[in-house]
Amino acid sequence: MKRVMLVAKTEMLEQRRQVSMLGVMLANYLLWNVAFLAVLVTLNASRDNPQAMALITSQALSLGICDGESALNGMVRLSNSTFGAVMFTTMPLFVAILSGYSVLNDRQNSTIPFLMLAPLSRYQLVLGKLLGAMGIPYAMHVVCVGVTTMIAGKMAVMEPFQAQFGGSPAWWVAFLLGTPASGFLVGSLGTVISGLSKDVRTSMQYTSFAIGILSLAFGHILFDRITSGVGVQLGFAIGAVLGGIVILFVGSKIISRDLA
Amino acid sequence: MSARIEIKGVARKFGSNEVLRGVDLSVSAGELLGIVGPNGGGKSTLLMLMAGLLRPTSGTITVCGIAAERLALESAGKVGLVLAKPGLYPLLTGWENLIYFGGLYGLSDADVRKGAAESLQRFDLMEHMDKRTSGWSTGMQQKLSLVRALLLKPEVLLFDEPAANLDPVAADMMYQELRSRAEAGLACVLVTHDLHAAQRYCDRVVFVQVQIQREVKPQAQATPEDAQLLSVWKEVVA
Repeated sequence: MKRVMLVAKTEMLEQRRQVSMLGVMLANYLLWNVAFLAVLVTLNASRDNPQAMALITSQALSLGICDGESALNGMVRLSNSTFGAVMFTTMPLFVAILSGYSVLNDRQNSTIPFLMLAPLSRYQLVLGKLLGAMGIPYAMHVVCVGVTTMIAGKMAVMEPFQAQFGGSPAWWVAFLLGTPASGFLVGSLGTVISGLSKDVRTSMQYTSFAIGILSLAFGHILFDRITSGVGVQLGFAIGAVLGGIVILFVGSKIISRDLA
Repeated sequence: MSARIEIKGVARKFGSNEVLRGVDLSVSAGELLGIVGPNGGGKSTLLMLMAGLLRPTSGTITVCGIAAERLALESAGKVGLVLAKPGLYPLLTGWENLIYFGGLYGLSDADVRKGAAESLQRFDLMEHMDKRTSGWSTGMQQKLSLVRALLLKPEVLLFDEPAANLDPVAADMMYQELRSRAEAGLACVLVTHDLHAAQRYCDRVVFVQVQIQREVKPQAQATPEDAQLLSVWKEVVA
């Protein structure tokens, strides 16, 4: 485990020095969180403004999102589901990109022969790279989404949605465990695909498809199932971690020690 | 002298392409073996087989009595490797690179700093070690790769075109280091296109083109034209 953590630590050290990459990731988080809060603040302030409520109602009716509820609630529900699905998708996406790139980076820097000469199994290497790829996206996820959830939870317009947002224990399980777990699962696939690919182009093509589709799917599943309760969310998190371990284990067996 | 590297009947194919066939070779402690040959002749493949980074299609390779492909997991650190590309992380400093690779072998930060100090002083790298290697010259990077190879006090040193991107002074330093390590008792292998270096520094030179075609004992006094090796080269390649 010491070697796995050393690989992970070194991965994170390298990522911390990729300032532009960190900037892009942070900008993405800030953009979505600020936009979400701006929408909620606007909707919250519109409650006592008849003109604004009339505009919201007409917009909600034209969009068809008032299904048996008030237009205001329909708009808030739409904002919540968009925010939740995007935020639960973003971290797995970033993890998979960083972990997949990390293997390509080793290929480009010609460090693979030197790593393979060390007493480190392929499983330990890919696990370390994946864990290292999770650190920074997870920190951004926790800080940005956590702060936004707390601020949003204090707004009056969010009261009817506490059960599927910050007020629900299932939300916190999905936010703190389910998202990194799906990041681990999708990232394991990205790492293994990169390890198996013979060139950067092939790796990028395959990882883009697999990662993009899976991240979107898991993001939506996580958010949609918040009302199913803590048990379902915990089950998803545990299943995703186990799935990731299986993918890494099988992948590290397929990627032979033969560098050809 | 005892054989540190024993190669028996080794063949290697990449798909249907046969790169090596029926190679028998041994390298003793204190010996520097040169491997030369045309591009695609199998020199680098042979070196990677010795390092255990490729597996033979048939035949056996033992290094220090251990099957080469099991070296990394059973007896890591016995082989030091230097390739044409230094294989460093450009965003890490010199120390961070060494500490990372040393750490993979179980060395602590202090062990790495202590173990590398003498080599770093000798190669004039010490003052640069806190800077990222992305800003280093190729020669400096290659020297650090050499320091990394020596860090674990290996019994076997494998060099594949170590001077390919180096200026003549740095290349000479690299070859002299290899020569001195062989004289200190290590089994050393140098894959090179540089016939002059092979002539000047190696105890034996083998020409590899799929099979070992010829073995030459270099002359004591190398000539600038390396007439002996060059004529054998032309003959073999023809």
